[in-house]
Amino acid sequence: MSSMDRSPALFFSIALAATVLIAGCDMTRTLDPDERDHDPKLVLQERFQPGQPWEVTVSRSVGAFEPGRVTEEQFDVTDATVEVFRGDTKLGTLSRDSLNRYSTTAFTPSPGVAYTVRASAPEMETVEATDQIPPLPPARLSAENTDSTQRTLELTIDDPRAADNYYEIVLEERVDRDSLGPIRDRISFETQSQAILNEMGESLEIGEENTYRGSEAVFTDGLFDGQSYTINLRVHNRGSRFHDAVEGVTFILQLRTLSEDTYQYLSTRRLAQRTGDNPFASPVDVEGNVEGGYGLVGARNVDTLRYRVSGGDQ
Amino acid sequence: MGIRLRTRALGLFLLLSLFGAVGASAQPDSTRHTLSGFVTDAESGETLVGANLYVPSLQHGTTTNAHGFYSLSLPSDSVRLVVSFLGYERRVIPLALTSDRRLDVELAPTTVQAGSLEVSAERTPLQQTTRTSTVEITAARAKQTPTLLGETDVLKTLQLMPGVQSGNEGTSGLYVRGGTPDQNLVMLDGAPLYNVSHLFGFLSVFNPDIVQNVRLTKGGFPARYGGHLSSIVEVNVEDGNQQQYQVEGSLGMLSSRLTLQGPIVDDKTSFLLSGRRTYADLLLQTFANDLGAGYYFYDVNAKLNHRFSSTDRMFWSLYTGDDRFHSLGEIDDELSFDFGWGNVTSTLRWNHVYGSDLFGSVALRFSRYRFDINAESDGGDDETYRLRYRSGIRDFELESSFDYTLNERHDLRAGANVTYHRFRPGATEYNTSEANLDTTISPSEQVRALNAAVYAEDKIEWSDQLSTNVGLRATSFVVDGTSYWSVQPRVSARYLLPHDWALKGSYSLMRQPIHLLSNSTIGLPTDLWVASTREVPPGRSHQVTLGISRSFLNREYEVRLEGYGKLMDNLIEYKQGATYTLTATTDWESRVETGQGWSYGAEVLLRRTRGRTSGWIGYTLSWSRRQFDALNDGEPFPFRYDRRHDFSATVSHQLTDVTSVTGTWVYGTGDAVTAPSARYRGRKVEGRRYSPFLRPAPTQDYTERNGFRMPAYHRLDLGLRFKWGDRRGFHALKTGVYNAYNRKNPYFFQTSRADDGGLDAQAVTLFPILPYVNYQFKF
Repeated sequence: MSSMDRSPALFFSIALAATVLIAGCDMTRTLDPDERDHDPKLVLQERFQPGQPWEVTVSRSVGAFEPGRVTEEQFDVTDATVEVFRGDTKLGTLSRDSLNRYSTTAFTPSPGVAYTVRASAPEMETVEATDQIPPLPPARLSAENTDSTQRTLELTIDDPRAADNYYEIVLEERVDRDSLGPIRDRISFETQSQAILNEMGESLEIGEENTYRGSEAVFTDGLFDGQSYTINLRVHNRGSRFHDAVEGVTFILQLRTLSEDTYQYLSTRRLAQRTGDNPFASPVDVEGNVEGGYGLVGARNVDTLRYRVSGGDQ
Repeated sequence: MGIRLRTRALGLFLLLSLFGAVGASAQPDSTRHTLSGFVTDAESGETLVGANLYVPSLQHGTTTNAHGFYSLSLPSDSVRLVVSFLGYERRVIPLALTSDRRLDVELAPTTVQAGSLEVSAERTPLQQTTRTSTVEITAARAKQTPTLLGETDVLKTLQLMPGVQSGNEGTSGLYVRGGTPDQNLVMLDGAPLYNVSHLFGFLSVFNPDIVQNVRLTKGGFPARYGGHLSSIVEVNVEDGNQQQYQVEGSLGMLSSRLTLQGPIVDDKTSFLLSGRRTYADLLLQTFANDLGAGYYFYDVNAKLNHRFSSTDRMFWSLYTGDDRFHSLGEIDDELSFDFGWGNVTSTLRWNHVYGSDLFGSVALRFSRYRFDINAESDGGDDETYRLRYRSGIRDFELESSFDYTLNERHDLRAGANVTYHRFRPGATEYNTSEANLDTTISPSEQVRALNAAVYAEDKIEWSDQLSTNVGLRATSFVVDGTSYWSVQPRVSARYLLPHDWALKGSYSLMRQPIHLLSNSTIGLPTDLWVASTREVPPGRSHQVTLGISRSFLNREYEVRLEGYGKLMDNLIEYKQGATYTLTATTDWESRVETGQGWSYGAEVLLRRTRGRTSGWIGYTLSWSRRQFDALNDGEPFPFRYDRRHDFSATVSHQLTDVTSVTGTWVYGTGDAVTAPSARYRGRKVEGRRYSPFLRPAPTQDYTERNGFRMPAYHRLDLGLRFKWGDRRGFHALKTGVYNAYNRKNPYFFQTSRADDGGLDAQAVTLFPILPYVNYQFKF
């Protein structure tokens, strides 16, 4: 071993070993279920659209492993200051209403304008989010293939060219009855639209890979950018379940165009909810647009399309 | 494009350099002669792979190749040739070379008492070889290591080496220098295996009774290797005893093994037949008959070899193994469910000695891996359904290689292989009487690919101090009209420092044209092999290594210190939330993201290879990270097995001629996991009737992918072995404990909703202290 003692390589080895040992002492966070050192952040939730009042929900985050059920009071933030800006111009400050929202009707959003919502609260970092209402494309709703059990609604969208567009549809039905008044509720539809399947089709069961069923759907214009695109929505005729004479049924379809931030939030949140119980799926981070905090102040535009079927056609 | 051009230019340069060097040195030399032949076991006639031949006066030597052949260019002079191999008596052979000569050398096994230690060592002096990042173990050493339930597993013994990390506890997966298990090319007698796991990853498919040795190459890859990014694992199996019949076996808590081997025609033809099976299903039937479920695995190895002449030899080998799980549902008696997976690989090889300086080998190979699920429900005439799922990969391969000793300074090796792959990503058939439906739902068209490679490498002795191995590997992968070409330079060098220290460095570029889609980290059979496509190109890695090594006291001790850096790109990961489903394996490209990774670190190995007390200490300090544009906001994040410190120590001590004790202690930084750091209130769903009792569930925020660490892993295993008899026949009783101090190591991490409504994080422990006993015999 004496030869080793004289070796220049020995000094090299010792120096290298010392270097790597020192370098190896970096900091890592060891997972501790009792870890409760989370610093609360402000959470903003708002979907603003043209002509509608500002209604911002403000809450705070809690540590992931905070023991016990977190009460609404722990989430609530009652002393926030919420301001709305158009560019650098402050439009006003929102006040807290009876539903614990920060709201105003003094000014309302307009399409094509970028709005910034800034919120602050004691002992928490100020947060802000900016978004802009997208334009609405021309769209039509019609129906065909009427029979006694189901009918097919046809939604046609003339998608604007040269822009990534994000859509959301929500279908409702209003049944007008002669004696008890109208009933309005969401209804499910089935569709084989590839645009919708691409976005919503993850949780399909064997044998149903090519059909989506739900009362709402999000999709993009990736398959029909700049073109006219028709989506068939198959709905079941529910009018006959009412014993009262039905004067007519109106299908109400909300076509929403979403900002990119809103789309990303909805997509990732849906994915998170869908895979939350799947131990094989990698965790999903919900993508909000609130800098310094959580949530979404997202813009959208809404077109309400109706198709009425008279009572005799039920 | 620029990178590709530069790569090709570099390749061309190296090729020209290679052949330039060869040409410059290829002058006829009438004063030199070539000595060649095979080195075999004197008792069994088996060829010895990696035996060392060395001429001390010339400081020149070589090792036998994968077929036991060697070739040495020596001066026309009287020399002493020293032939040695681990576990065998060293022979010193005086030679007076006056012409080229064939010399087959038989080595006699060391005459030691049964139970004495047999520890692996580098079979060439550590200072001599240019190979870096290579470790070897023998099956004998693996059998001494205390193991889970007493089941010897050569891959788990490899996990104790620096630079190699285990994945989940108890599993056989190898994570080599920041790579994943699919980045390891695992070969059984040269045949690739796609899933090397039995028992859901807890046991590898290699039967230790027939394994001769295992060699792991982590970096500095010679040009003969390719197709995977991180490592090459070569498992060599015995050929079959040519002198006498032998029976060897073991009875364990989980499975039993039996091996028969012997001559068919003395000194000409021999056979080996070995089988292993678990009896978990039989135990379950006996003790838990109402469970309605069962599991078994088996594997069979067969080998025939025939010597036509002193220059021609032919081998046929077969491996087949299956795992099968079945369940008869207790809730619904009509529902039955089973799934299984398995490999088959068969090789026909012909070796030919063309002359004293040229050895050739040609092999034809078939390999198949498949996974299937069957579910059937018989509800009577009204409703029956049957679901079948199939996936797999099938290869045909033709391979040839040549070893040529050009002169005393150049040992050339060249070869080519072409592999025809057929991937079947998944096909689901569904049959139901109710809807009169009988269809293949996800037909998943078979994907056919052609993978071809040619290579050449030259081991050059520039001087007594400097030697290099320079090589090039050119590959082509053609799939669905898309071609991927690559030229992969490989260089390794050794320079002898003062005091017999060897300084070694290497660079290698590797490409991997097939990917593994995996939801888990334990090698489940649902993992799916897929070919690169136009959207997902082959993976690529650049690796450099630099280290020093030396052996001391007549190779009794050895020290290795090595640093490495590795860049990888075109790695794949599932998209956020994406998961493997049986119905959607055809559009897998849309479910993955491609990105890059890098790892670097330093490894230390201190090993004592002989004596009553032997063993080694291994330590690895490493960093490994990944970066995907679409994951973690595009920011780099730790690899799941980014293990800052990984330490292992294993020691064996011979107490008496019969009794030996062994112990192993391992320590590793906790695995990186993704965990929520905060939760916040979502927005109530619009259009729904609002109730204060139906608030939406809080949203969880994951600050950083793999941003948390599980607690550190450490474990002590102890073993005690009694062995009676001699080398030709013995009985051995092995007992011990796994996880001797009952450390509750985390197997995986999960979050769940606690009774009080909060969120609980739980590290689930799988293996407490587990005793084992195992009986082995040989006669």
